[in-house]
Amino acid sequence: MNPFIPLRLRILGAFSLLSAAVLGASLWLVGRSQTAQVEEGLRARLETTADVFAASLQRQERQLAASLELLGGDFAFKQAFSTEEKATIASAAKNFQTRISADVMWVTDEDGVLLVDTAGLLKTGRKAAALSPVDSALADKPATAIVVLGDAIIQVAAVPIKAPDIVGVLAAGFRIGDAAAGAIREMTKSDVSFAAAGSIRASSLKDADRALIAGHVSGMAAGSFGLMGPMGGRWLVLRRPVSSEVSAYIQRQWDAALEPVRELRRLLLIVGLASLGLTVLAGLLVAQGVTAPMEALAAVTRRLVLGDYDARVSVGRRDEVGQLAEAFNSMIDGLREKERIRSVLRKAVSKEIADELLKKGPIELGGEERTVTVLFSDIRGFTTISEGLPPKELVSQLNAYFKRMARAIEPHRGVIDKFVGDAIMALFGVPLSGPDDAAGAQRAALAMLAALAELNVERRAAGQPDWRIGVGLNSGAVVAGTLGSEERWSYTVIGDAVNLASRLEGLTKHYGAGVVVSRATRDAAAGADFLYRSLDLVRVKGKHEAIEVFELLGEELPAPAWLAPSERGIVRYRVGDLAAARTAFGEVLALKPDDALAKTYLERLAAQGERAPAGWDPAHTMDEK
Amino acid sequence: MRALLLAALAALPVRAGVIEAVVRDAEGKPLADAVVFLRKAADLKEAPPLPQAEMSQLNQELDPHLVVVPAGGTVQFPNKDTTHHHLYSFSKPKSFDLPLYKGDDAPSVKFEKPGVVKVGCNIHDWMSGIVFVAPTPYYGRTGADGSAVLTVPDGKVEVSVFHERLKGSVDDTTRRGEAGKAPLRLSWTLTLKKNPASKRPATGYK
Ligand SMILES: [Cu+2]
Repeated sequence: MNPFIPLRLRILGAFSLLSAAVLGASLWLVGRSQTAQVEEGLRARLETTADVFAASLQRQERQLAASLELLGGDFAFKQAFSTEEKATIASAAKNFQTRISADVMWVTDEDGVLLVDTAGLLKTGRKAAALSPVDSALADKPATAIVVLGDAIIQVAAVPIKAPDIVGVLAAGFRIGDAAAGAIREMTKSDVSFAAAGSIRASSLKDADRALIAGHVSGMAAGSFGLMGPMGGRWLVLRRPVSSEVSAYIQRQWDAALEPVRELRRLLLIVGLASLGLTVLAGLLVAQGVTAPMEALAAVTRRLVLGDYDARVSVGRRDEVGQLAEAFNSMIDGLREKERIRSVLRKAVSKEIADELLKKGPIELGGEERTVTVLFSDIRGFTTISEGLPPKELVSQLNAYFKRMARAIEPHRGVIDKFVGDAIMALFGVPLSGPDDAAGAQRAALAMLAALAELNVERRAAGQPDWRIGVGLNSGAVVAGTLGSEERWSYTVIGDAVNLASRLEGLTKHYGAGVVVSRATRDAAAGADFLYRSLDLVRVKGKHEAIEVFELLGEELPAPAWLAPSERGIVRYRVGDLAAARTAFGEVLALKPDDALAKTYLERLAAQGERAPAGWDPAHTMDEK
Repeated sequence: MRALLLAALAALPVRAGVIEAVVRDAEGKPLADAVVFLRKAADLKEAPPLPQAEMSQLNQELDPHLVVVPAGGTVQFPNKDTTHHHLYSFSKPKSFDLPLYKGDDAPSVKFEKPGVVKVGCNIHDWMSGIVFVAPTPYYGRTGADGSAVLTVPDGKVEVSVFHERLKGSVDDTTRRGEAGKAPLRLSWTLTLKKNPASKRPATGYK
C-alpha cells in the first residue's frame, strides 16, 4: 500500500524540488565559473607581476653592471687602487657607492681577497667567497648574482679592475629589501615577498600579513601557486625563483578578490530564494486550484453517499474543473431525481415497475392529466368476514390475499395505488402510459380471479370458507400527481373515471359478475381478443349520460351457448322489444339456469308489458354506494 | 733583438760561457717570447752596453708587446698613431704616467728595478704591453723554435725564465749550472695561463 500523500503536497513538492534544483545548479555553476574567472585573473596578474619583477631585476642588473664597468675603468680609481692604501681605496669606493646609489661596494685584490666592504657586511682580509661574481670578474668576466648575506638579499655585480691587466675586482650591491618590494607593489598592485632558506627577508606586506605567509612559503614548489592564510583573509601566492637560494613570492588577496563573486552569489541567492518562494506560492495556488475542487467533489460525494442530495459542488470557475463540477451537479440532480422517484415509487408501486419507470428518466411530478385504466377490487361480504375472525387472523389472511393479488397485478404493468381495508386500487398507465394499459388491466383482473381460485383451494384445505371478489374496471382521463404533505405523500389519481371504476366494482354483486368493465375500457383494448357479456346501461348519480357496462368473461375463449341469447335479450330490451327480450332471457335461463343477469332482466320485465312504454329508458340508475 | 744578440756575441770576452736554452709549453710545443735571464752577475764590466729600447703605439696597440731591458735601461714610447695616447703603469718595479701625447713628445722612461712592468693606455683599455726589466744584462728571448742562446760570464749561474702567461712565480723556474766553453743546455716546460681574448672593440657601427 502506498502511503497517503496529499496531492497538494506532491504538486508543491515537485514545484519546490524543480525550483530548488534549478536554483542550486545555477548558483553552483555561476559560482564556479566566476570563481574560476577570478582565479584565472589573479593568476595572470601574479604572473605579470612576476614578469615585471624579473624584467626590472634584469634591467637593474644591466644598469649595475654597466655602471660598474665604467667605474672599474676609472683611471683615478686605478691610481687610488695602486696606492694600496686601504683607507684611500675605501673612500674611493664609498665615493662610487654614492655615485651609483648602491647599497654597498666591495673591492678585492687580484686574488679575490676582500680589501674593502663599505657596509661592513663581510670581513676584509679574506677571500670574498660569498660574493660569487668576484671569481668570474677575476677571470675577466663581469658578472652579477643575487646573494644572501645575513638577513639581506643583495643583487651583486662585479667587474675586474684592469691596470691594464686584472689587478682586482670592484663589486657593488643593491639590496632587494622592503623598498624594492614596495616599488614592485606600487607598479603592479601585487604584493611581493622575498624569502631565502624558508624565511621572509623582505616584503611589501605589513608585518602581520608577513607573519601569516611566513609559515607556508617553504612548502611551495617553484613556479607553483598556493592559497595561504586564514579563511576570509587568504592570499593567492605564486613562487618565482630568483636565484638558487632566493625566491620571490608574489601575492594577491584571494578572499578580497572573490568578494564580488560572493556578492553576486548572495544576490543570486536572494533572487533565487525569492523565485523559490514565488514558485512555492504558485505551486500552492496551482495545487489549491486542483485539489480544492477535488476536495469539494469528495465532500459532496461523501454527503451523497449519506443520502444528502441537496449537496452541490461550487467551484466558481469556468474551466475544465468548472465543467466537471457542473457535470457533477447535473449528476447529483439526476441521482436526486431518481432517488426521489424511487422513494415515491417504492411507496406506490411494485419494484419491477418502479425500476422500469426509473429507466425512462425524469418524470414530471405534480398534477398532470393522464389517460389511465383504474382497477378496483373488493372482497364480497368482508364486513361479515371480519366480524367472524380475530384481528390477527384477519390480518394474516388478508396479507396472504394481497400478496397473491399484487402478484397478479404487477406483471401486467399495474401500479397498486393503495390497499384500503379489503379493497385494492390499481392503476394502469401511470406514471407512464402505454397502448396496452387497458388490456393489461383486464388481464390483471382475470389473473386476480384465477389467483383467487387458487387461494380458495388452499383456504378450503385449511378449512376456511371461499372468498369471492368483484373487480371493476374503467378507463378515462384522470389527474395524476403527488398528493399529501411534504413528509408523507403518495402518488395517486383523482377524477370521475376513478369514481366510476369504484362504482363498477360495486355492480359486480348486483349482476353476479366477477369483472365489470366499462365501454371505455373495452374500447381501449379493442385489439385484444377478450370475450365480453353485455350487462347494462348504467346511469351514475348526478350524471346524465348512461354508461354501457360489460362483464369480462375471459381472453381467447369460445363463446358459450347462452351468450348469444343473452346479448340478443339485452339489445331487445334496450330498443323496447320487451317480449323478444323476455324470450331471449328465457332461453338463457334454459341454458344456464342460475344466471343472475337473466333473472335480473326477467324481474325488470315482469313489471312491464309486451311493449315498452313511451319514453322507454333502458338505462339503470345506480343507487347503491 | 736578434741583431742585438749578434752584437753581444761580437764583443765576446775571453772567459765566456754559452747557455743554450729551450722553452716549451705543457703540450711540448716550442714557446716563443719567453725571456731567459741570469739572475745574478758578479761582474758587470764586461756586460753589453745598455740598449735603447722602444715600444711604440701603432694602430692603437703597443708594438712590440714585450720589451726586455736590463735594470737601469730606458724605453722610448713613440706614438705613431694619429690619435693621442695616455700610457701608464701602476706596476711595482716602475710606476709611470705619460699623459695624452702625440709623436715623440713623451720622455723616455728609465727602469731601475728588475721585474714585470705592465703598461696600459688610459683611453684605450685594450692596449697593453710589458716591459720586462731583467736583473742582469745577460738574457735572451726565445724565438719561434722556443730556443735562445745566451753568452754569459763563465762560472756558476742561476737562470730563470719569464713568460707573460707563466702560471706561478718566475723564481720557481730558477736553474743552476756551470757555464763554460761547453754550452750549458737548459730546458723548461712551462705551465701557462690561457691566452686572454682581446677586448678591443670592433670598428664600425655595431
Ligand atoms: Cu691609447
